[in-house]
Order: sequence, then C-alpha cells, then structure tokens
Amino acid sequence: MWDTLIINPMVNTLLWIYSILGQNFGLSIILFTLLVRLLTYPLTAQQMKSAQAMQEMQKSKKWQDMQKKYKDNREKLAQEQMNLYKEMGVNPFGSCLPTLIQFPIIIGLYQAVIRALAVTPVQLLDLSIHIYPFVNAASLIPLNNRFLWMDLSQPERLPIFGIGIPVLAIFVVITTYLQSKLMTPISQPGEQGAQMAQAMNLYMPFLMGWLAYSFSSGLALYFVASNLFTIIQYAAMGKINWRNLIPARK
Amino acid sequence: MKPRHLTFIALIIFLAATVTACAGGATAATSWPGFVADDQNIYLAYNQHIYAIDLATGFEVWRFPGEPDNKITFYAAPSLTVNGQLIVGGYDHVLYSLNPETGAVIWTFSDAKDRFIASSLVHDSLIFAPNAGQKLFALNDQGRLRWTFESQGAHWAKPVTDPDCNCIYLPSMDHHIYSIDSETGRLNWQTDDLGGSIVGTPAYDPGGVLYSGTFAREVVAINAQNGAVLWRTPTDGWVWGGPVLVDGSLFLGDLNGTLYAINTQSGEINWKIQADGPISDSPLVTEDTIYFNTETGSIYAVGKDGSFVWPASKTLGGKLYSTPILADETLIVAPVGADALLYALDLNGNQKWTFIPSEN
Repeated sequence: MWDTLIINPMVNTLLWIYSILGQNFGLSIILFTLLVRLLTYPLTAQQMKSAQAMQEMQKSKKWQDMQKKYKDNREKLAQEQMNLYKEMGVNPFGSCLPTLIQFPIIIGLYQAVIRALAVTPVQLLDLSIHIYPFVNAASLIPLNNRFLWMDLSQPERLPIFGIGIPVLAIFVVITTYLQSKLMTPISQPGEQGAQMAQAMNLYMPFLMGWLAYSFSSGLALYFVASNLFTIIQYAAMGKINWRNLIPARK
Repeated sequence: MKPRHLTFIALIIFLAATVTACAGGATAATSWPGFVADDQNIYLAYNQHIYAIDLATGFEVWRFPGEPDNKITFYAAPSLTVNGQLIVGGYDHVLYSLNPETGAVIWTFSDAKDRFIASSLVHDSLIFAPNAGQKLFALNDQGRLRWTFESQGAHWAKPVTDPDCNCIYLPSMDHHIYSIDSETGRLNWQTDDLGGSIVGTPAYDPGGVLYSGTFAREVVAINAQNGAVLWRTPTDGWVWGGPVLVDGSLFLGDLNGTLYAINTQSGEINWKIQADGPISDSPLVTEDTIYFNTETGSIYAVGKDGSFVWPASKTLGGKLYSTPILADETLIVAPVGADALLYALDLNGNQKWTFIPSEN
C-alpha cells in the first residue's frame, strides 16, 4: 500500500523528470519539490485560512475575557474554548494538517531517492519491478547521482581545508528557521499558540538539520528547495511577516 | 521543561526513528550471496563473512573475519587462483587475498574508492578486479597494481577473457562493453551504447563473438574484433545474469521470469519457458540439464529442449538470486532469508545437508 500510493509514484515521477531534464537528478529533485508544493497548494491555502481565523478569534473580546475568567481553571477554559471554536466555525487542527502531510512526503521522498539511485544490486532489482511502462528506465540507469559538489546518494560534506563541512545541512537549518519565523503570525505574548510556535521555531530547524546531516543529500536538497518555495509562495500571497525577523523592542 | 515542549521533542524523536528505520540497519544485506567451490570446500561470501564450508558435510571450516565488523561486507563470489589464493572483494573498497585452507589474509589491495560488487577474473598470474567506482584494477598475484582502466560507469559484472588476443572484455553499467589489452590496460575498442546497463558476464565464443544481455531487454551478439553488433534479440524483461554458451546455444533468463534458449548463429529463440519469478543470475548448464533459480525461491531443472526434468520446481524458503553451482554431484544453492545460508541437494532435488552459521 505504502509502495503503491507513495513510493512508486514518487520514483516514477522523479525518473520521468530526470529523463526530460537532461539527466540531472539534483534538478529533478528541485522540480519535483515544486510539483509537490503546487499539488499541496489547496492544503496550504486551507492552513492559512484556518490560521487567520484562529488569529482573529484569539484577538476577540470574548476570547480575551475567557482567558481572564478561567485562568485558574484549565479544564473549564479548554471546554469554553472548544465551544467558541464551534460557535465561530474554526477548526483548531486546520492549520496542522499541511505540516502533518509533510511527514509522509519526507519519508517517502527519502525512500524514493534511495530507490531511484539504486546503488546496490538489491536496490536496483527492487527498482526494476516498480517502474511504470511509460518510463524508459533502461536508458536512464544508472542515474547520475552527482549534483554540484554532492553525491546525492550520500550525506553531503563540502571539503574545506581538509574538513568536511555539511553546507547543505546548515542551509536546511537556516531556511527552516526563516520559514518558521516568517510564517508565524504576530501574536500576543503569553498566548498558547505563540508558545507552541516558539517551540516549533526552536526545535524544527535542528530536527531538519539533523536529518539533512545524517541522510542522503538528495533529501537535504528537497528540504532546502521546499523551504525556499514555501517562503516564495507565502510572499507572493502577501502572508509573510517580515517583522518577525526583527527583534522586538522591550 | 514544559510538558508541551516534551511532547514536541517526543514527536521529533518518533519521526527521526521512523526515518532511520526506513534506512535499514548498518548490516542489512544489500546484495545476494556469491560462492565458488573447489574439490574440498565451498567458499561463500555473504554479508559480514567469507565462509569456507566442507563440501561433503556442510560443516564450517573457517570464516573471515573471525569477528563481524559492520564496516566490512562481502557479496561477490570469491575467485580461486592456480597458486592457492582466494580473491574476494569487499564493500569496504578492499580486495582481499585469503589462504583457502585457513582463511588467513595473504595480502590486501586498498586503492579502490568504491565497492567491489563483481567477482574478479583470474587469468594466468593476473587478477582483474572490476570496481563500482568506474575502474578495473589489474593486479599481479602479490597484490601489486599493474594497471588501471577507467570507464564512465560502475562495473558490477566479472569480465571475460579471450586468450587468443590477450584481451579481456569488460561489461559496464555505462551501457558499453570494452575490449582491453590485458597486458597494458589499453582500450582496443568499445561498443556503441547498447541501450542499457550490462551487469552479467558476457559469454565468449572462441569463434570471435561475444554475447551479452542488457537492461534494454535484449541479447546482443558482438564482433569480438571490433565491437560491432551482429544481431539483437528482444527479451521480455531486463537481462541481469550473463548468458551461458553451450553447443551453439545461449541459455539465459530475464527479470520477467523467462528462460531462453537462443541460436547463436541467427539470434532466433529456439524455445522459452516461463518461471514463477525474476531470474537474476545465469543458469547452470550441465551435460543434459539446465538448473536455474527464481527470486521467488524456486529451483527449476529443465532439459536442453525446454522440457521439465523435475516435475515441479523445488522451493526452500527465502529468495534465490545467485546461480546454483554443481560440485561433486551436489547442487548447491544459497537462498536469502531462508533458515540456512546454503542448501546441498542431490540431482533430484533432495536435500543432503544445509549450512547454518553458528553464532559468533
């Protein structure tokens, strides 16, 4: 089921893009990322709509009063919040779905990149039975796994003065942090959502950086491209909060 | 730390563990067993060890290395030299020469930058070791480098030699076959792009023709003098294992599970039979019987006319990728994922012994 629905379509799409892009697997991953962003655009739009509704609701007098009234009774507060969500037609989990969707895509893409590059006999044999008829894989294999200074099947290190620097992993940390900061709505200090966002902004870049450091650089390339496309997409829609990058005055 | 932060960190660790699990363990098998036999022993390369196994009893004689090392794995079938060496390449980029009687290391060659996936060709006193790093290394029998040949692709197949012209033929994943002077390493010729990778050893006819299967779903006949294609015969699937040439016929299987007998003169298919799964290595052709394995774990015995010798295929459990070998009237097969690493069968398919390595 996982192979049929996630891995095989990803592998074949990657191979197809590879065949039309002059057999450059790095560019294939970047274009594939763009396609994923376009395909998940309805979810992204829904996420933004939900986040905006949530933000407006949290600014409302009713919400503020509720926070004060039940500040010592968390159970009651949660109950009243749920009632308000229903009353105002806000789905509290609506903004989480696109983030959760990213997880199977990340895992699937990692497996798809490794399967497509097929650097061992078992992987190549496995690849051979998952290729769709319209992809002329025989003429493409072995895939060119070089992109810039990287071997896309291996964790990336750029040797500088004899030391392997994980340049792409550093880019992943920076772009993930930028993405998180720029897309977080401006919130009032002490809000629950703001606390969660702070936790996300703090831990997510390091998680993504660690994944980029440890696994094949093809996955890291996907992370960087995905982060940049997301920032561009949000900027084009006027939803970027540039002020989040500037430290607030006390 | 706040409970919400702890939950988030737990989620991160879960995701990391999930992705790591997808990557597989450090010693997960990435290929299938390779093995060879002499009068006394079978030498099996699989995962973290080379095993010497007594041919008559199935008992372990020695293993190399004594203790497993996660950085060292072996899959290519070892090669025996006439002066008593067992040559085997590792995924640790090292070529080893072992004493076949004791498993002691005689010498190592560590100049390669990539894995040794294919077996080495031993001819006269030279060792030709194809490497996944696009190079073919020629060494003398003391492990000294004589010359290096580089192509555009990885080499996953053992070369074949042509004693008449002092040359060897090297198949490559870059879709070409190369003819190389075995003394100097100089290129004699290379074929045009054959349309797909070649990962099986070509068959050489002393009449001056090479036969090879390719991923382009074809068997090709090539003029051994200049690399020109003489004929092409389409197959149903990718051809992984090299063809076997016997009495003017080629026998080979493809990943679609079809076994072919092909006329070498015309390229016409004499007959073909359908098996129950992909055939990923060459068949074993004896005087009157063809034995071959399928990935689904079946062993077939058919006559040279395509008729079934065994009324039904045998299954041992696990998957069968490697060519069976025949030693002392015993058929040896090495399944992956079965209870034992080796099964010895009589020529009717009845089990004689199995080899299960003891725990270290």
